[in-house]
Amino acid sequence: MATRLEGVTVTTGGWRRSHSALRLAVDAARQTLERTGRTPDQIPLLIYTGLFRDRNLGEPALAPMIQEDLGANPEDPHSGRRGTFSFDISNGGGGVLSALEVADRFLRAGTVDVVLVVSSDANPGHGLAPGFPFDPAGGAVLCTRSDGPGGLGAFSWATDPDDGSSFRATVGERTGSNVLTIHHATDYAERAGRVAAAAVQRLFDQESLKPIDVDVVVASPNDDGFRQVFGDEVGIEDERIVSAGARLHTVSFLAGLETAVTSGRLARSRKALFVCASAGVTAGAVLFTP
Amino acid sequence: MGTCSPRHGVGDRVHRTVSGLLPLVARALAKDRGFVGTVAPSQWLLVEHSPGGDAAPGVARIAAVGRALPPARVSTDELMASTRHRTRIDLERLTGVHERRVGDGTDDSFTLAVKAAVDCLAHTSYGPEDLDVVISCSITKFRDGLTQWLDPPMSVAVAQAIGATSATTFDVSNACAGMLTGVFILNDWIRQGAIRTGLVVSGEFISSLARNAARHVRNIMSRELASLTLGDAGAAMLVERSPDDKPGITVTGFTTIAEHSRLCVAYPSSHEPGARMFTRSQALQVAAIRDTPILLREALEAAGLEIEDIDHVVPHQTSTRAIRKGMAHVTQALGGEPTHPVVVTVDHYGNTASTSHTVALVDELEAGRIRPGDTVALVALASGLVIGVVLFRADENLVQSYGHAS
Repeated sequence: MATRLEGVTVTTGGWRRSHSALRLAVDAARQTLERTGRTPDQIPLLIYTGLFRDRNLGEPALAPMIQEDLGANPEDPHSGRRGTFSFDISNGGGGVLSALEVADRFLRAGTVDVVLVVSSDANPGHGLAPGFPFDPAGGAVLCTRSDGPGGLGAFSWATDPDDGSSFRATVGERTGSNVLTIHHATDYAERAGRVAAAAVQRLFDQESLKPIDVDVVVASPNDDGFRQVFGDEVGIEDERIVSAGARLHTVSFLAGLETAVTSGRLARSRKALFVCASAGVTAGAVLFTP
Repeated sequence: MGTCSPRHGVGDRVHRTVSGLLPLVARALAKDRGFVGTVAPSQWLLVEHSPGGDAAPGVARIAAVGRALPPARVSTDELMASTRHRTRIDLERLTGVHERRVGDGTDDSFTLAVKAAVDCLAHTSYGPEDLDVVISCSITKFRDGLTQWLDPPMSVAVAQAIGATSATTFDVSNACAGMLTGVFILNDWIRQGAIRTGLVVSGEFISSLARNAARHVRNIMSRELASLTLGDAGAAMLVERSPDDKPGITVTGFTTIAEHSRLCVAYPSSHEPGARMFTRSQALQVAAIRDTPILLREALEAAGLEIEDIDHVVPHQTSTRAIRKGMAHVTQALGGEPTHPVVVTVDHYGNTASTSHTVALVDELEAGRIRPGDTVALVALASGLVIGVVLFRADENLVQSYGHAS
């Protein structure tokens, strides 16, 4: 059994849509379904991994709203149909990788055949995030179950806890109103690179692999400092690393994946490595065989 | 959308026909719509069975539950006396909430989660270093008072605080169904043997929403009325691979009826500390009462059980009136009732959001009302609208860890 990835899509905020993480997510999800020839009612499980959303909404999860706007079995239970279950997973910039791990497990168990993973970030609007540093973007990928070999392999995670000292996003009272504040220390990229390298090294040890065995690395965040530290620590030269979207947060990995797909580098590779680092500092890695 | 009863009746007939006479056709249809496995094709719920065949042969069990309750109590009379406007609302009569626990300023979502996790582990032989996964499911992510930490995720901080240094961590958000969604994920991983132990944890420091609502509620029609029922709590649940795969979690099933996704929304307040929540309680209750019996029936059918086989139903704690009304509909629709009265704790803890099932479960275990072999149904009703069921059998070890022998 293999978990395949199909129809990876990244949408960016146009002038009308630059302030709605919900719309960006729905657009990306819809395009992914169109690319894969699926209809929304064929999605039994929808997982959203975005962080910065309209009005910093805390409840409900954004996934049900995406499900409703997408038209994925939003109605009350009735005969002859199956419902859709949706929820959010948050793991900062590595949320998509966590969602892929959860999706992979549900697919392996045979609970579902398809999982739609969606992410997006945008300025919450209403003046709630002065100096918001990320570009509005949405992304989606369809995880499908295949009987063939390949697909996603084992996941590996590493953490070097810093209690958010190198990167944190908080919503709190400042000058009389609750605003989103993002703290990004100059050493974050370096720390993220080291933790990502630790996750990959553990994965290589588990799988008895060497850096040379990997043809392409899709890495997030897209930061020169991160790539340099990560590449040096693992022993993978920069030419093999694909990243995209310098001002993206949770969508960054999907942007890199889309670039790897559209350039043909993923299809040409025998073995690919996906790696995401995020605040915490936490990093995850997984092997992918196209 | 039609009404519930006719649809339910038709659903029953179709279900019996499809599963009884045309299983191959139904299975093919289900597969075309992205579903495989052993679940009945006409099932609306996304269901996990235990054991789940070759792909997921193991069984997960609930090994322990823990909670943290702030010592301070605020009665409904006291809260309503603090409202800015003269509301004339008899909230206690309306909701059955007599009092709720409220943090005194030293607790927040994070500290409540950590305390609950420590309490949970104290009921097991596990140490934090034994945890493979820590999933934090708090809706509120308040740390250092009323500052919400969106990133890093709270799971990293909780794992670090309790010493779960080797655990994989991530957060799940699914409103008041968050913790049970976490159980749904852990059940999946444990059944496949991917992990042995996982901790689902949550801390809800939500009394600030009640304080904010007290400034704005004018009358019984206010959409912030439900905020006045909220109480603070932390909760944790440890799920592990059942030794010898003895019965533990038998079925988990969830769905999101997303056309109701906007019936309850919460976000940070613009000009007050903390957050505000706006709920169309009546519409939410109507949808929940209409759909829960159908979905509970599906979960029971998947487990091969009747409602009379259930010993304890632990619903999400919103109000005594809503819980009893909902249970009456379940009894009527399913033609029977559980062995014990439906569990109600909202009267003394209020609605503690994602922690409510676990907080109530601890009450039942500590009081010795849950006995070894009892079948328990945790029923999630959450903004989204999420409806879910976790069916599990309480075993000797779980009951004993709360001081009660068989």
